[in-house]
Amino acid sequence: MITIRKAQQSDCSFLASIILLAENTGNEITAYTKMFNKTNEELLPIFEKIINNETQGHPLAYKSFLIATENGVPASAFAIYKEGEFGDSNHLTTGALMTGFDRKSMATAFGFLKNNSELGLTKKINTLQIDCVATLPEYRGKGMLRQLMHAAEQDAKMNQINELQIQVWKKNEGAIGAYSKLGFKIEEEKLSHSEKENGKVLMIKNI
Amino acid sequence: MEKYHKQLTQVFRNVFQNNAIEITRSTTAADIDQWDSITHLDLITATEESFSIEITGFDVMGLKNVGDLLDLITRKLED
Repeated sequence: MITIRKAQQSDCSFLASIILLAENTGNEITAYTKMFNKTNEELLPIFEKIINNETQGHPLAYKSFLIATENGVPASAFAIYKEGEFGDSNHLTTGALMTGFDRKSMATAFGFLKNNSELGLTKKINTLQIDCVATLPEYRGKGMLRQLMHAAEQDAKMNQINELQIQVWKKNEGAIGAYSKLGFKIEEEKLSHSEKENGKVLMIKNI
Repeated sequence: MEKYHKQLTQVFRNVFQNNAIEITRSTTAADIDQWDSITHLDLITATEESFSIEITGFDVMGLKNVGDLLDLITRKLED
């Protein structure tokens, strides 16, 4: 039986694995492994620490996550937050990363992002942002994403939000197809300078 | 005019390389074109250097606008 619930502090280990899994589809130009030049195994405990904070409004906080469980076991998750509610979500994410990495690592990581700055998409204020989407491999194909998205839409409606936004990599055709089936449409694309056929795609759904 | 406002304005002008920038307590990233996640780290670092303070990640997660940053600077310097 699949159940959707809000994440708790005890989920931080699972959520750290979700955040890193979401960034390892093989289509990413920028990912935490590349930014910080570390393996997933090295990043896992760092992200477990980072997301164990009480803030909201950005993806690197456990309170932002919705989790799908099967028979009580966490299997799939994503972060949702209203853009701008607690400040610029990207700035809050920067702060969260600063709690896990020293300043030298941060400067290196953001130098990497600077080299790919053409990929930056604007998150519209007061939209519901969906971020860090992943399902553990053994639970895929069970409709968990659809159920999570339904819960996210209910959350948005309760908070008078009428637009959902999600960013995906252009080469991740599987994800683009899955979100299209859920009613999302491509709104904007930013192509990469280094990988001509890849880039960031903004998909939106009005509810 | 608020204490430290003039000095922080200069920090913004240096980071964003724009001498026309004016900031108020309600200024947010939405008001300044280049104020993205990348330049935010530059802004934090430049603020630390200008005011000789240390700003933590938890401090940054508490910042919603320029007013919050001015309050943080005041706390760091006067508490």
